[in-house]
Amino acid sequence: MASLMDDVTAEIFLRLPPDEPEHLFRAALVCKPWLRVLRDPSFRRRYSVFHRAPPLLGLLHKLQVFEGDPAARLAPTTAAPLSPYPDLCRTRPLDCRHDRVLLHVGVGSWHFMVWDPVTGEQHRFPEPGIPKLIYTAAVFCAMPGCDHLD
Amino acid sequence: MATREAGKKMIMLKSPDGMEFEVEEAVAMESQTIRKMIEDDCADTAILIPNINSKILSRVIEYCNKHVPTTGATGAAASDTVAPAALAEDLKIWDAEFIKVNRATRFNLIQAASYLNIKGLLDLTSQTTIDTISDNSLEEIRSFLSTKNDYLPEEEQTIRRENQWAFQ
Repeated sequence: MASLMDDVTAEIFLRLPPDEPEHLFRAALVCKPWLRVLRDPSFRRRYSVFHRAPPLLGLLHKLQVFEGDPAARLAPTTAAPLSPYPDLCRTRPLDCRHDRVLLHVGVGSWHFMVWDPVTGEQHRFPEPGIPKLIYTAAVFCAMPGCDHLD
Repeated sequence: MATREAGKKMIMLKSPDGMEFEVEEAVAMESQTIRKMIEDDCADTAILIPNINSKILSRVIEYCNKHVPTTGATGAAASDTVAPAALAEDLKIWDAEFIKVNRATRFNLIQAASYLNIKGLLDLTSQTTIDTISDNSLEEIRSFLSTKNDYLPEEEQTIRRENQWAFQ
């Protein structure tokens, strides 16, 4: 394998199934040259193009009832670990795109939170000052040239 | 460029070790790289295929010959009598026999398929390696593919400990 050029190694790795992310991870731990190929941003771009839609890592589901929604739940669909759903008493998932989930959070005063279930990162945003019954919110992608496949 | 058999256009492919292979244009055009050369009119004389020796190039041509879509009189006759599903099944059996080669040959075929941009051959030749990575432990992958582990034992232990999910 060592005699194979990096681009041929990359050709093989492109075909690792995205629905089972542990294969990519384990390949990276076989040896450092493989890690170098897999972590290269150009490989990541080619991998997305090759498989078109990124893998489904989990499902976010919620029950909405008149008084007091139970917490939404994130059910992982692969072995890859996801960060736990934010531990807040009142949240409503509004939208998600490109691994970012937009939550409406009612702790203290209502505000928004963008949460990344892969990294666990959370960012808080204030409400826009419009009565909440007459607006909704969505996650947009501002990346030029992005085809928004996920 | 030579012509033969009822005006079928022929292309000459040359390996760096001096061998020449005359193939039908349609067969050569299974390679997207060669297709582009032909379409850009860069293929008036023989095409030199760098880095692919005659042994590997002849196997690649064998693959393309088998996989070129059948058209014209003989092709129509074949598809009238044989169901497409049966043809696909035949091809699968043929592919399985074709790929029964040693590791060095397989890697050379991957390199050739990558350079010549032949998607089907690249899928076929990569699959055994993909299966090895998918179905085996790290130690087995390294041993099957003769890959040298250059992680320090403590580095590997730490990464394994912090990412147990990937090794269950």
